[in-house]
Amino acid sequence: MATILEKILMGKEPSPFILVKDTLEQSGQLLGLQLLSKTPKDHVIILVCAEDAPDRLLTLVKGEHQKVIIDCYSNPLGWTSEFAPSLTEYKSFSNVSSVVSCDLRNIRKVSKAITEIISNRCSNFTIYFDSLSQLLITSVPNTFNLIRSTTGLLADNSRIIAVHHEDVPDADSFSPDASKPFASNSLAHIATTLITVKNTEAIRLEQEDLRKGIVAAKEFCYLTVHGNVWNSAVCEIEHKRKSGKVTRETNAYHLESPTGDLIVMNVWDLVGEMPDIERLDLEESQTVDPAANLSFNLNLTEEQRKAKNDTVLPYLKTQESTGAIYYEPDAADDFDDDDPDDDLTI
Amino acid sequence: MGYASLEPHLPSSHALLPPGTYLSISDTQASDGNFLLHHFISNYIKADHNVVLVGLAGILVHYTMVGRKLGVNLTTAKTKGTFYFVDGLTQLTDYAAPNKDFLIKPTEAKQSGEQRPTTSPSQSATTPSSSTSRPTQRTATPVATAPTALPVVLSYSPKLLDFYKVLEDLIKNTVSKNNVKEKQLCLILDDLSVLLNCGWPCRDVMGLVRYLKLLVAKFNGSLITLVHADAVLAEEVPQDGLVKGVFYEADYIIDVRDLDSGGSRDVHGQLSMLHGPRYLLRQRAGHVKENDWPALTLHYKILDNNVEVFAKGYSSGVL
Repeated sequence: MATILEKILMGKEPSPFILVKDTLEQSGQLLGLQLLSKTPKDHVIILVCAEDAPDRLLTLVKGEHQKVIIDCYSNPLGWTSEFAPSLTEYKSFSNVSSVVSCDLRNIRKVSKAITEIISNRCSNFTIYFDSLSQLLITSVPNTFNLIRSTTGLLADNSRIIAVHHEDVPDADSFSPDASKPFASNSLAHIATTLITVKNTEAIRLEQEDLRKGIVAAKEFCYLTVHGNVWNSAVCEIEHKRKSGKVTRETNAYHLESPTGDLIVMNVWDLVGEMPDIERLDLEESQTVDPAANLSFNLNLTEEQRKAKNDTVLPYLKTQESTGAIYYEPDAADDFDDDDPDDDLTI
Repeated sequence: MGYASLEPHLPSSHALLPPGTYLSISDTQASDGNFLLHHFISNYIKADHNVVLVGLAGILVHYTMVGRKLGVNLTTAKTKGTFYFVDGLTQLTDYAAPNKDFLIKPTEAKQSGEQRPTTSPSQSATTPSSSTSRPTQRTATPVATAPTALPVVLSYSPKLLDFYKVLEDLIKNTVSKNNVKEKQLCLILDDLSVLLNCGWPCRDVMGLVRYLKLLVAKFNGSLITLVHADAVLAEEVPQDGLVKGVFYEADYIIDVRDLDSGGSRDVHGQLSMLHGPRYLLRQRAGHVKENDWPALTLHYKILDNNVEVFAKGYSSGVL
């Protein structure tokens, strides 16, 4: 049976808002771009670049889709527009129809640009945000409004794919306010598919610890040498169908070469069987055989066991007849419900 | 050339970083990552390329002294025009101004900039137009009038944009003076955490890194920054956000920290060459060779005029 990740990648499971959550340890950009590359041919792709240069992202998007670029990368704070490439600079990439430059100080402008593009064309869209974190660090409510208004505008087959770094603080976390929900959780709530990308090696080490029953002390560091390996990653998927059914699955992907295709596989083929603590306990109790190293035989042969089971023991015979107690009270018996211990000389 | 034993582990062509790339170095309080900066400074100077060093945590004398130990004369390079030092330590505070009211607002400076003479006569001769776009320049500060006045004078401004403009002018001047096609440029910021401590918000500092990265890439250059990544600092949201933001932005990451097991006489700490999210994308696009930058951890020992880098467990004190 195909895994849920495979179905989402192939477009068999429609999902209007796919959110890819990642951390520094394993980037989800690869998966996000793969999802984008599998977009149906009639879709127009809107690339909202906030973290990576548009030309770099374009080289990674396969397919001959029409593309519109919203460039929030080259001028994030509106300091200077001299790095913003013009449309002519995208000549080497086919099908780039327009480039809109926006700065991240004003997310409403980004929202407006997207709305204009959508309302001017009659087609299905796939909107790709390469990093929602860059928008969230400016303003959390505005980012939410952007996503919500875009979702409202899109037709049934259109979709949003967004990458969000859940470890990067958002604008709200700079001024701690307990009444505000964490942006990461709220985003997960409005997404129809939530894919959490995790590092394979980290999962493997976690399981190793679980197997051993000890957790090795880890030194604090932002990124380990196992971080961002190109050949695999583990994806935890939570997919909400239109019917309301929620599917949760953990899949993984694997690559043969850094530039090769993503192969979706079962997570246990990649990191080994998940150790189940209860099963481990059971195994442990089964493996320890107290009669193993004795000088005499305590075990029974099959024949002996059968004979033992067939033997009818004497007490079993008595149990067959039903018993009854007959009691005839004599004159001295004085039943007093108020004081049952009346006959005792206490 | 720099530290010979470190060279094979770097993604360099002729001991330099590939043009258009950004290297982020993170260190901790227990092990200073500063020694790596000296490696790059001396490599670029020896190869006769341009270096712009923004010293936010050290003064020029410090770099000159270390440079001398590594066999590089920064003073000569400075006169030659290949080395520029921006003193961010003493000048990037409003203490340098005798009176805070004296601080020129950027708009004011733009209007009055043309009337104000620049601090160094040689500079004004070569860059007559630069004074207009250098909003923070003043003649009234004691630093500027001192005999050792530097070509670029900074001052504190609530907008980090002003700081960027100064660096932008400087880099453009450097490039216009020297032939850019043959020469590479290396911009070093030592260190970024200071900017947060100076009071600029995390988002602006991250923005500055982005702009500087784009700027140097335009001039065939690379950017190197140092940032502190201590466990204690990670509890502060802006510090934590900066380190993560910088790591998401960097093409190459080197993490310097002390040994997990504690201190040792023969091993001073460990260096980790790390793959950031951006490296993964470059790899995916086929922009890097497979063994260009293998992720690994090495140990190092700082000697008097060299740094020895060796594989884990291969310290000369052990073998």
